[in-house]
Amino acid sequence: MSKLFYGAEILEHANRPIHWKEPPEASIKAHGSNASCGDSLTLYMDVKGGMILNASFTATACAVAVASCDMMIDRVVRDGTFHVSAKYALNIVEAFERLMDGTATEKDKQSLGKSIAELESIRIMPSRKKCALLAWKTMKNALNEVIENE
Amino acid sequence: MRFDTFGAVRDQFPILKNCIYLDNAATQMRPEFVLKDVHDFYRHENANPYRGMYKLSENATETCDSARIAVAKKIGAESSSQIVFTRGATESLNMIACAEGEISFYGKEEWAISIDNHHSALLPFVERADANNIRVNKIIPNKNGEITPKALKKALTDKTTLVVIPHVSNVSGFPNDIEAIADIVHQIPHCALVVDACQSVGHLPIDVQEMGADYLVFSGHKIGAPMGIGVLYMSKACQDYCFPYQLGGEMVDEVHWDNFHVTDAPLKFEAGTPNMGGIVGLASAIDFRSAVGESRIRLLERELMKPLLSGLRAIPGIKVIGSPLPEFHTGIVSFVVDGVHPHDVAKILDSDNICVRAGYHCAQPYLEHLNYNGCVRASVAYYNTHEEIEKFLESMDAVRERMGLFE
Repeated sequence: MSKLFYGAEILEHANRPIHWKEPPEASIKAHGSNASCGDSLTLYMDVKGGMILNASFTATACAVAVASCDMMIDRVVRDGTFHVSAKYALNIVEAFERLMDGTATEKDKQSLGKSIAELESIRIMPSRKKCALLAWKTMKNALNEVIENE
Repeated sequence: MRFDTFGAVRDQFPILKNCIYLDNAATQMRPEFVLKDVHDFYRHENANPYRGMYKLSENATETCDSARIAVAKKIGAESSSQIVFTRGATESLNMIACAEGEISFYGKEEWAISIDNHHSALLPFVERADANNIRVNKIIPNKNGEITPKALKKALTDKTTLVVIPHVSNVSGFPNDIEAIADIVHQIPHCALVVDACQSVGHLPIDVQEMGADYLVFSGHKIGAPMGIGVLYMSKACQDYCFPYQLGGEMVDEVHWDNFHVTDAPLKFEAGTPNMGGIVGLASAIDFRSAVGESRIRLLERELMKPLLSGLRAIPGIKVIGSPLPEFHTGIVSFVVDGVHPHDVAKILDSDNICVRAGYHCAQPYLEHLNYNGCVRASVAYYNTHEEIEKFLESMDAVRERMGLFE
């Protein structure tokens, strides 16, 4: 049997993303794309009073981009039972950016959790780093707008 | 120098020891033969052509003129004066778009552009057309990638003055019948045909007079010349009515403060110091291919395409874009893998030291028309081997499994 190309966690999120959904309504619809490689995704979020109630996504993108987006939503937003503030979510996003830059602290890594840590291995492939970051950059832009409008 | 054996040809490309290179549609490798000639020019003969009164410059002029003759012969041009050296096909196409756009009768003309053109053959014309209020009609190839007479005629009217098509699509690999296309185009008075030959110049015989092309462009690096040199072939009529794209040294006979006189073609269109290394390399690449044998090159590539295409089509989960027949894939096979993004396919192959291209291939409108979000492209050249094709197919066979997708 051939060796799996990505880690099990990345493949699981890429092939069976839990948060893949285009909801009938969403208060925020944020689009992100990498022109050079053609990856594109759309984030859908329900935001009320600065709190993110729910999030999902659809994408036309490589496994790294899809997995990264799914893991991001998993970590940043928990549907139904737990609401997070846009500011809290932004801190998580910025911790991930530091992870990909190689400047993450131990506290950053702990806050991101074990499964997202698997994405750190992508950092050494310059052509794939932007795939991993796509969803997070898209989320960051959306969150900054939410915070600005509060 | 002789290249009687395949080994002797392959030895000209030491870089091929490091990987299995199947991205020849992007650029071909440069043989040692060409690199030596380029190096020798700069080391022993370096001078500006057409300017100096000393031997070194006169020799450079002769080198440049000889290269022009070699290119003219390669593409069947009537005269070497119809060969303009440019930085590449992109610059050639921009030159055409600018010149043709300048002479348009504002709002009264139409251009027809095939949607499977490379962005370099699309954007300059779409932009110029927009700026000059020229209506653009799309030519839509069929599912094999062929520009059929029916598809072409649908996009033409009696107001069409320019038609832009690829000789061979860089996605489907389909080789269009330029002669038949030109016959239809030239039924419209004053309508010119632009042919992008980037994907054909290295694989098919080209005769611009037989084809009936008014403009033909290609980049030298597609046939083993250095990057940064290209060709713009222009019919004599086009050379007469086109104004130069760039102004500067060399393209003028006389310059005064308040007026200047443009010189004759081809220098009319070659402002500035020419890329002599590129020009020497281009002539050398043509020489090299001639020594290998152009017919032999075509045969080698045809023989590689058969197992490549049939092998890919036999792998479950792979859909090939374009015709099912190898003769309609000019060195190129583009495909998608069910459930696996093209970038992931390319990275998996890269981990096996195999180089292929993934994405939109600078043909995004075409791929969107075909309803694909990118694809993978494998493209062969005469120096590839059957063993390399086998290794590629082996790797492809394992792609879905390596992505955790089990049948």
